[in-house]
Amino acid sequence: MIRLAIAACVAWLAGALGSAAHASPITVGLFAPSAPFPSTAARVELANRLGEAIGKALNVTGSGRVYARAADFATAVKRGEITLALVDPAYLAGAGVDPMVIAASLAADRKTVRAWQFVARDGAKLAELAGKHVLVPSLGGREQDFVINVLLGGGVGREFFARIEVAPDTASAIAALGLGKADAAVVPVAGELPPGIHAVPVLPALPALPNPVLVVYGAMAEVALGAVRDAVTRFQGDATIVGFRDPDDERDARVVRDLASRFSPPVKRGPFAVPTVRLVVGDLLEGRRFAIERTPVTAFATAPTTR
Amino acid sequence: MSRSAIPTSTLALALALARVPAHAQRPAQGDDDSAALVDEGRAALKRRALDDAASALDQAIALNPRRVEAYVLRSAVYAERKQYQEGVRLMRRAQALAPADEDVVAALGSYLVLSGDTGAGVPLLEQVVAKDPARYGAELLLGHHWYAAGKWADAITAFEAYFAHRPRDLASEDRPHRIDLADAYLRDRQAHKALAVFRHVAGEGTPDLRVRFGVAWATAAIDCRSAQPLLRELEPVADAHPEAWLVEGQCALALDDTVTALERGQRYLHARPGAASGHALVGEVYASRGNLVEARHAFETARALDPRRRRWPVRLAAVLRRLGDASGALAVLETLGPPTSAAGDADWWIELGRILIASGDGQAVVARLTPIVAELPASTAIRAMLGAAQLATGQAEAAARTFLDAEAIARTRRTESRFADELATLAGARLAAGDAAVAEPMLARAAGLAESAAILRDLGIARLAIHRPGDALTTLDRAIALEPAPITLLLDARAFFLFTGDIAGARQRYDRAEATLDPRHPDAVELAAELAIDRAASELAGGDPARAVTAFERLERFEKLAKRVTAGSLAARRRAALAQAQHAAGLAVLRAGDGGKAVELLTSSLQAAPADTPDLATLCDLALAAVVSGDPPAALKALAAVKRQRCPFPAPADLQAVPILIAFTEALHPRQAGRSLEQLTALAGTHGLAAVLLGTAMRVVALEAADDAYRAGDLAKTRAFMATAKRANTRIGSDELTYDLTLLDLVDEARFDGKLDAAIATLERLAPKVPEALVTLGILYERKGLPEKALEAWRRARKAGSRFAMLAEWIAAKERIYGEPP
Repeated sequence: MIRLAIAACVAWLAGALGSAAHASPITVGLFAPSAPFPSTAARVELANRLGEAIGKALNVTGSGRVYARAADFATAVKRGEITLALVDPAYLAGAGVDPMVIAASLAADRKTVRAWQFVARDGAKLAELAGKHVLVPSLGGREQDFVINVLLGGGVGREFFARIEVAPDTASAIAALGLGKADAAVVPVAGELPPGIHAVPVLPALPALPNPVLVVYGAMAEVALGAVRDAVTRFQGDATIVGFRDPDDERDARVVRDLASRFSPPVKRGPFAVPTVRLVVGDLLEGRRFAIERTPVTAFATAPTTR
Repeated sequence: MSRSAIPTSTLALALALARVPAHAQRPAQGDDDSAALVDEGRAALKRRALDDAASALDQAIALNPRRVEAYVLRSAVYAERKQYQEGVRLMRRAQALAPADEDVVAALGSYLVLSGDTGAGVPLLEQVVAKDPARYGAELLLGHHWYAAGKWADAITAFEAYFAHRPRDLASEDRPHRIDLADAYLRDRQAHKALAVFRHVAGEGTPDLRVRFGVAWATAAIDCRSAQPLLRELEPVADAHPEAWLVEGQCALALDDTVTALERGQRYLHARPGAASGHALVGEVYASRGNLVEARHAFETARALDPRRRRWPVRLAAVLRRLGDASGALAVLETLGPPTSAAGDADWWIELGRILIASGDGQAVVARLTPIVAELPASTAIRAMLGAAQLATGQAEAAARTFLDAEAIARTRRTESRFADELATLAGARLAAGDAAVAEPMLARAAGLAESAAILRDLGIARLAIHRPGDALTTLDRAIALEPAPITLLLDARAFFLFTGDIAGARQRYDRAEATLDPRHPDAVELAAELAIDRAASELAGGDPARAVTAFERLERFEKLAKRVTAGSLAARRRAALAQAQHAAGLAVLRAGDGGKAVELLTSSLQAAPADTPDLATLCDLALAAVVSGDPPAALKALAAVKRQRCPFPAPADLQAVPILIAFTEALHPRQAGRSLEQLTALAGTHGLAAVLLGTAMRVVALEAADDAYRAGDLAKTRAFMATAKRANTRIGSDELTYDLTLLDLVDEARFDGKLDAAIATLERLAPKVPEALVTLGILYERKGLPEKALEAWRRARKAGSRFAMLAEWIAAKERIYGEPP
C-alpha cells in the first residue's frame, strides 16, 4: 500500500516537471525608440534580461527582442509572437490601441516620467526654430501631432516647422543632428549632449512624458500576471531603465489614455460668461439706513446730591 | 431759670438796688427825717447787715411813705433773703407811687421773674434794658430767661450786655454765665464764638465736664476731624453722659463714616431710648445710606418723641420726598406749618421748595418762595430754587435777577462754591427730568461761580442735549482738563463728532477714553459698555459699520471681567447696538459682494440681538447674503426662513424677491437652471424692483442654463436659452449676453471666419467689463494668425481674474514659443 502511494507521488511530480519543461517560451518585445539607450546593444541587452526575468517567473524560457520599426513590432504582435512588451506610451497613444498596462518603468531618477527638450545647433529660443527641419524619435506615425500638440500644446500651427521627420530612436536623432541632417531634434532629456548641440531654452519647460510601459497583448492568466508583476518589481535594469514601479493597473493605464487625449489639436472654445449674483441683489439693499441709539446724554448727568 | 443764675441775679439785683444813687432822692423829701434813715439803711446794706438795713428802711417808709427810694432799698433786703414775693408786693406799692421810675420798674420786673412770673416780669425788664442796656441785673435775668426758653440769639444779646456792664465786684460770678453764653453761641450756630468762650472758661481753672463737653462740641461744630480726639477723651464718661455718643455719631456722619455713626447713635439710643435726637441721628445715617424706609421710621419716631422740635418733621419730609412721596412730604410740612418768621426755620422753606420742585410744580415754587425770599437775606438755597422755578416757568428775567441776588449773597458770604453746588444739584434734577434747556443756564452760572469737573460735565451734557455740540465740546474740554474721567472723555468724543463730523478726530478721543478705563473701577464694565455703544454709534453715523463692530471687540476684555453686563437694561442696549452694527456691517460687505463675510456678520447680529424673536429684516438680509455667498443649500435654507414674509425690500420686492431668489438659487444646482427658468417665468407680471430682480434673475438663470447646455455641447439648446436670456427685461448682464452671443457665433468657425475683425472689435470693447471676453479674444487672434496678440489677450484675462480652467495651459503653450527667453 505504502509502495503504491510513493509510486503515485513520484509519477505526479514527474508529470508536473515535465509540463513545465515543455511549455512555450516567452518573448518580451521592446519598442521604445524614445528611450535614450546609449546604443542598440544596450537596448538589446535590457530586452533580453527582462525577457529572462519574466520567463523565469513563469517557469518558461524567456527572451527579449528589440523592434526598430513600428510596423515590425505591430506585425509581431499581430502574429502573437510576443505577449509582453515594453513600449513607448506615445506609440500606444498615437496608435490608438489600448493594451493592458501592467507596469511603468523607472528612469535613473526613479521617476516614471522624463522631461523632453528641443536640441539644436543654433537658436536661443523656440520661436527661432520656425521654418526649421526637426527630427523626432519614431512613434510609428503621428509624430507631427506629437510635437505640435503633445509637446507644444497646440501653441503653434502645423506650418510652424518646415518639416518634422522621424529618426529610428533618440540616439539616432541626436547623431543625425550632429551630422547636420536636421536643424533640431526633440528628444527626452538624458545625459550630456554631443559637442555643438545644445538644448533650446524653453519657459515654461516642455511637459514631461511617461517612460516606456510594460503591456500585455492578448490573454494571460491572472496567476501568470501576478508572477510577471512580482518579477518586474524585482527587476534590476540598466542606466536608462533602472526597473519598474510597483504595478497599479488603473494608474498605469491612465497614463496612456491621458497622453492619447493630447494628440488631437486642442479645440479652443471660450468660456461662457454669467453675471455675478451680486448684481442681482444689490438693488434690494438700496436706501437702507442704520443708526445706533446712543445712551441719552442726560443719563450721564451727575446724580443730584441726596439731602 | 438755671439754678446757677439765681444767686448771681439776686446778688446783682441787691447790688443794683443798693447803688441807687443819693441824687435820686426826691428833693421835696431832702430834709425829711426819713432821709437819714435811708442813708442808714443803705449803709447797712453795703455792710450786708440785712436786719439793720430792714429796720432803718422800714422806719424811713413809716416816716415818709412817699419816699420811693426807701422802697427800692428795702426790697434789696428781700432780694438778699430771696423773699421775692415780698419784694413784688413792696415794689407794687412803690410802682403805685412812681409808675415811671426806672429803678422801681427794674426792681419789680426782677422780682417778678425771680418769683417765677416771667410773663409779667420779662416785659418790664425788656422795657428797662431798651431804655438803658447798662442795667446788667436786668440783662442777666433776661439772658437766663431766654437761654431757658431756647431763644439763643436773645440770650446772647442779654448776656453780652451783662458782661459789658456788670461791675467788677461780680466778676467772680462770671463762670456759669459765660458757660451759658457759650452754650447759647453754640446752639445759635456761632461755633467759633462758643469755642472761644468755652476755652476762656477752661483756661480759668480746672475745666469741669460741661466745659470739656462744650469745647469738644464747639470744635465738632467747626471741624469734626479735629474734634474726634476730644470726643474720644470723653468716652470714659459717656456712660454717664451719653450725649457724647450722640455728638461723636453726628461727627462720624459728617465724615461719611456711617458705620460709626450708626453704632454711636444706637448706643446713645440704648442709654436714652426716648431721645428724639438719637432717633434723628439714626435716621440721618439711614438717609445717607439710601435706606429711606428705615430713615422714615426713625424720623417719625423722633417727631413723635419731640413734637416741639421743627427739625424732625422737616427731615421726615425730606425723606418722604426722596421716597417719591412728594404729596406726603408736603403734608408733613403743611401740618407743621411755616415758621412764625421765615428766618426762624429756613430749613422748612428750603424743604418746601425742594418738595415743590420735585413735584414739578414750578408755579407753586414761585408762589410760595417769592413772598419770603426777602426774609431770608442770607439764603442762596432759597434763591437757587426760586430762580430755577422762575426759569422753568418762563420767567427768565426774574430768574436772572434772583440768581444775581444769590450770587451777590454768595460772594459776600464767600459761599460761591456752596451756591454753585446748589445750582448744580437743581440743574442735575432738571437734566434727569429731561429739561436741559432750564438746566443749561443754571449750570453756566454754577460754572462761573465755582468751576468743577462735575459742574462742567453736566453743563456739557446740557449743551449736548439742547443740540449745541460746539459749546458742549468747549465745556467738556475744560472738564477734562480738571479731571479726565472716562465718561467725560466719552461725551467729549461724542460732542466732537456731532460738531465736526470728523470721525478720525473722534476716534482719537474715544481712544483716550478707553485708555483711562481702569478695570478695577467698580463701574468698569458698565463704562466699557457705554463707551462701546457710543463709539459704535459714531462709527456707524460716520459710515464705517465695520469699525462700529470693532468698537465692541476692543472692549471685550472688560466684559470678560464681569458677567453682569449680560443682564440688565444696559446689557440689552449693548446687545441691540452690537446687533445693529453687525447688521449694517453685513450689508456693507454684501454690497461689496462678499456674501460669505456678510453671512457671518448677519448671523452674529441675530445672535447678539436681545429679542426672543429674530429680527425679520436681518433674516431677509441673511437670505440675500447666503444667495450671494454662493452656497445654495445655505441660501435655500435662509430663504425658506423668510418665505411668504414681508422683507424690508422696496415693494413689491418685499414679497416677491424671496420666491425669485429661491428659483434663482435652485438654478445654481447643476442642470437645474432649465427648471428654475420655468418657475421664474411663472412669476412674470410683477413691476418695480421685483420686475427688475425677476428680469435679472431670468437673464442670469437663462445664461446659467445656456452655460450648462454649452458645456454639454448642445448648441441648439444653448441658443434657445440664450434667446430667453435676451428677452429678459433687464440691463443687467447685457455685456455678458453680448459676449456669449459672440462666443456662440465663434463656435461655427466656417461661418464666423469672415467676421473675425468685427468680433475682435466687439470683444475688445467688452473686455474691460467681461474678463471672459479676453479668453475668446485670444482665440480669435490665434485664429487670425497673431499668436503674440493671442498670448497678450490671455495674459490680460489672467490679470483680470478669469478663472477659465484652460487659460494657464494656453498661456504656457504660447509662452514656450513667444514668451521672453528664460
